[in-house]
Amino acid sequence: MPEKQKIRVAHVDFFYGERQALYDVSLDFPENRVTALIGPSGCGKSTFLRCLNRMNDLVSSARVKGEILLDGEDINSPRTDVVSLRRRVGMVFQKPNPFPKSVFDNVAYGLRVNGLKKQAALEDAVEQSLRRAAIFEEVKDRLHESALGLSGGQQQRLCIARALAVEPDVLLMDEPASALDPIATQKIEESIHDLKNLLTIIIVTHNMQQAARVSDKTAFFYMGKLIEYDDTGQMFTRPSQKQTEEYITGRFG
Amino acid sequence: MNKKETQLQQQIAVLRTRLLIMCAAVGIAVNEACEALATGNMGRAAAVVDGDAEINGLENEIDALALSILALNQPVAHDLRFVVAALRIVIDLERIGDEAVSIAERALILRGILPLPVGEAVAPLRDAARNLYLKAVDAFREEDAGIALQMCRNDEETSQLEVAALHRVMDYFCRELTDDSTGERLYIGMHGILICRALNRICRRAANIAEQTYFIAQGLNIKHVPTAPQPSA
Repeated sequence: MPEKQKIRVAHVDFFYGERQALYDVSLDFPENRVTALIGPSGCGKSTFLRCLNRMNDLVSSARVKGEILLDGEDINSPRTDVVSLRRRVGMVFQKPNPFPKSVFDNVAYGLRVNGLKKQAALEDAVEQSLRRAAIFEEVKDRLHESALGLSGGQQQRLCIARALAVEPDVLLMDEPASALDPIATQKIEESIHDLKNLLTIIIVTHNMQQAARVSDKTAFFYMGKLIEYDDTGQMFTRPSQKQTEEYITGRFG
Repeated sequence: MNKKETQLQQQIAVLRTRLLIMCAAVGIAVNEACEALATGNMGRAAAVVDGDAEINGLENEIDALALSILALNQPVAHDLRFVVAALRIVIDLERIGDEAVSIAERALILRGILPLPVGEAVAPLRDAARNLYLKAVDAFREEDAGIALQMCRNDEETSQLEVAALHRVMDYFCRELTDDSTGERLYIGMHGILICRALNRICRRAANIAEQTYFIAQGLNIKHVPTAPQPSA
């Protein structure tokens, strides 16, 4: 049976004012798979990631052309509710950014905004999200302490739990482990592995080994263009494009 | 994109150089063993036996180097294929070295009888083993997928050469089993069979090296594949 494509991207161009950052990017993200976006700094991979839940709308000069379909619906359509889109397509950033609130309130925040008021339901949802982000056991006795007291790795997994709480279909991760030590990185990677049964994950990473470890598909960007997109195993053993080979083997810079 | 030579590239260059040195050492061993057998030069045979320790040492050195590259650099793509293939090729090279020693030991055992009465019988197989080995090393050095693939397809030819050589050796020692020289002929024939076996193994191991060369160049595994693909440009 052919894989279901969760997000379909066709001929996307992106501009910051006059400067074009993405050129005619087309690719499909399969459902319940992890896709890694790799490429050198400034290649457009983070810009592309932010196109997928319209985070670039926050940049006044930003302009996008082309089509991005989430479950067949154009996310750039005027009819699309951006808040609802970002609930369905969650995001975790490079630096952990917990709210200056308790661990519990961080995870419950989105649920409360969405109207969930019952304490028992909130507690269940918070616990489930923390478990999915593989952090519940570490914080179960300090749920009502400040999230800012957690370690960097714990804060990042808390942010993942916060994103998961509203049950998104897609999770975008922009270098989620770049500021973490190897143990914390491993925990994040294990979470990603477990989470792909529940949702579609798209991760930007500068760490080639991380891309190879966590992803099913890999897309290589260079100077705003999608150079190659293939199964990760293929990309890291037998890339078809010379530019990809040169990048992943560290031959250019 | 500006290309640069990374530390990994430098280490892979060292690995490649050491492999080529081992290829040369093994090639000399095969050649000298065959020459010792053909000419009865015991000095050459003894040198092959003595030189095996150096080949074994190179195997360990290359093994450790490849392992260290994998552990410390996590190579990918062509680099990964090269290191993985190096770990496989080094085993074939060491075994070819062992076969050369086996042939040299036959030469030492048969001193006084050399050149062998069955020498002509094994000559085509001996030449094939030397040529295939040289071809495999050339293909590896030049990373020539075309030659490598062609070598892998010639497997049947090698089998036929061995069967023909064995037949000739058997003919030799089965001839007139009742005469006075029967014992000696059986003795020579037995060593002749062992020599044929060693030469055949050199051919097979050379084909293995060709398979690994194809894997490095094309990224495709053609081991145990009846119809190998056409190499791409």
